[in-house]
Amino acid sequence: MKYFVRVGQRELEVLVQPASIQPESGAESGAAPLGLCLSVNGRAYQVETSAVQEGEKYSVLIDQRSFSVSIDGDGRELSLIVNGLAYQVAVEDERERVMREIAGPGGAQGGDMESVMPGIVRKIEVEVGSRVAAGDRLLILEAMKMENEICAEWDGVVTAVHVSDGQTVDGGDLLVSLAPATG
Amino acid sequence: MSKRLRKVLVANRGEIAVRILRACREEDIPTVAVYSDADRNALHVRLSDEAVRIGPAPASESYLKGDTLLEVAARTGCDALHPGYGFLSENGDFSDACEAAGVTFIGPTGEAMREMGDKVRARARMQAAGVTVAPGSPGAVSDPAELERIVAEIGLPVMIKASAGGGGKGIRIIHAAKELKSAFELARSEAEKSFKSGAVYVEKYLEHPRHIEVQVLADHHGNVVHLGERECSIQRRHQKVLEETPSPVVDPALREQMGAAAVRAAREVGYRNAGTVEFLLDQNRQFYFLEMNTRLQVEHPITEMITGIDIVREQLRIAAGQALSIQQQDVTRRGHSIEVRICAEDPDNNFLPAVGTVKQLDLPGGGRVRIDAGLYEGLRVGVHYDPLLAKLIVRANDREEAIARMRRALREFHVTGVKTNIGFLLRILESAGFQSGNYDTGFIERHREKLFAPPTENEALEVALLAVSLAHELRKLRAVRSAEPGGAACRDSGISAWRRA
Repeated sequence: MKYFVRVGQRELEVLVQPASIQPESGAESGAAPLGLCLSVNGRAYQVETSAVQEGEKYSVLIDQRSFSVSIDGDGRELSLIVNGLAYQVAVEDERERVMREIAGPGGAQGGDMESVMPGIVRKIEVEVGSRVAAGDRLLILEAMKMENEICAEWDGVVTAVHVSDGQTVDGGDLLVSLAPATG
Repeated sequence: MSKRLRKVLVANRGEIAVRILRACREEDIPTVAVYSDADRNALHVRLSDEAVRIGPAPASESYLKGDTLLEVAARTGCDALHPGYGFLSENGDFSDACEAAGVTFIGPTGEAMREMGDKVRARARMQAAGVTVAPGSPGAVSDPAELERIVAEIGLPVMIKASAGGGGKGIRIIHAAKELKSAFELARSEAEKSFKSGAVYVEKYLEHPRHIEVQVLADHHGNVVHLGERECSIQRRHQKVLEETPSPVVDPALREQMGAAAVRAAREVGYRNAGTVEFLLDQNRQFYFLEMNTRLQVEHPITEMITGIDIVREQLRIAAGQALSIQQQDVTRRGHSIEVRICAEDPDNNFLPAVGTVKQLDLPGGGRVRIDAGLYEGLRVGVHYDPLLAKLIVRANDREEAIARMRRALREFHVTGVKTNIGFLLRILESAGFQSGNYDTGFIERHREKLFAPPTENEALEVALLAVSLAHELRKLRAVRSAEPGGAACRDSGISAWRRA
């Protein structure tokens, strides 16, 4: 997964992979796979994060260099305190960027919707006739090893569910049709 | 006069109330804290023996209500009141009202405060006591013609100051003769509005002075001692940001001169209890009386750190009528101490006060590190009071070691939920200008660019790696949570995987 990070005036692209797929030199076999491999400008860094307090305070090792980090934010706009210094950082993954670009400005009032990425449908939570409000969860799409919530973009009534639980979908496949709410 | 205080009302809030309460507890003196509606959970309430609500959050309806405070003192059986700093601490009439009500005011008399509070009178008294004041008008200036006459004598630039002002407020600096007349009128109307007195005076403006103050203690038995200087030149808009002692430029001979002048100043107005005489020091190492702060000072701990004298404890002893526990020859100063003021403010947004609720708090530890604070996780930082969150104070054998210790301690100090100036303080401590010791009150303005430089490339890279690894964690956390039955609603995530077909 690729991330885009803005720190001050700089934007950096960071590629994230599980550390286990990186060859570990001299690592004992059977050692627990630790952390992630992050690449920036072709240079790789082993990063291991450990929650001191989940969502709030972390101990982070970057190539074994130790950072005490306190965070505040939702994962997109983050306030970081790194060894006493405060930073405001914006983080967006490629999926979020794509969707932000597609979404464009303004909102629609109904229509058919398609998946923007390949994945497996998990947990369909609506059926034909379900009345939904913008923000309600409709189904979960497992993609990029993450469970992604698929939510109603606007108020409406489900007119068709084009997929079933466990079905593999491609980007562009129809998922659910929503008619604008009436009355 | 009794030799012991029976019970002390602490008429303040925040870190200074905590500081005073701690001293009382160590002296085994029962305490009464007061609180506004905003401070029900405050540390000073929790560290007191008794606590009494005195009104709504605005200070004018709570901490500034002298009558209410005296009522509380009577009701709870307090025989003494400590005003801390700010609020009513420099209100001479309140000091008098306390004494009239039979409550010992832990501070100077109203008379001494008024003499020092009126800057024109203070100048005259200091000259009488042989304390040098900056060249300027002998008294209040009444018209522009008189102002021009005096300026012709002492030369530009000059400062026009409100006679009733203080703490850096009500000051105008004039560099050109043609500005004099309009500046005079403006200063007069400003002073009238801010201090209810239009009296202004003029003083020679010293270019790039150092701001150095001397701590004094005076008892009821005629003993007045000084505890040496504090260097307070690191200021932003006349507000102190960092203080240290000894001053990098004060040698024993100059310390002796300034200390003696401070003692003369205190004696001149019959001062008693703890006070601070502020001086400006020019490039020729000539010092001039600036003003006297007739109360406990925010930065008093650095003096305590190197003298071993507990200033608040001395205040309590003095108020009880006891003699000072030390004579001048007993005062020894060892090592170096620095204090920084950690404030809820946003250095990237012109230091606007920041509000919020403190979420995470990690405090530094280790030897010779002191924290005076009313800070705790869950503290709501609002708009009603000053933005001081904590004072971080270190002691070391010498200045270099003290700077290193302060940098280390600041890097351990983590606060989330409220923006603070910690990064800015670190930049000051890391700057060559500060480390050289060769700085003055213009330091922050002159080094603005360096002190506010954006993150370096390497710093940005590190931050990006940290941010991405943690953002990745947060996304996993959210995915797990939302997959649970009754998991978090999508609308919080701001993510949608939809697009119109």
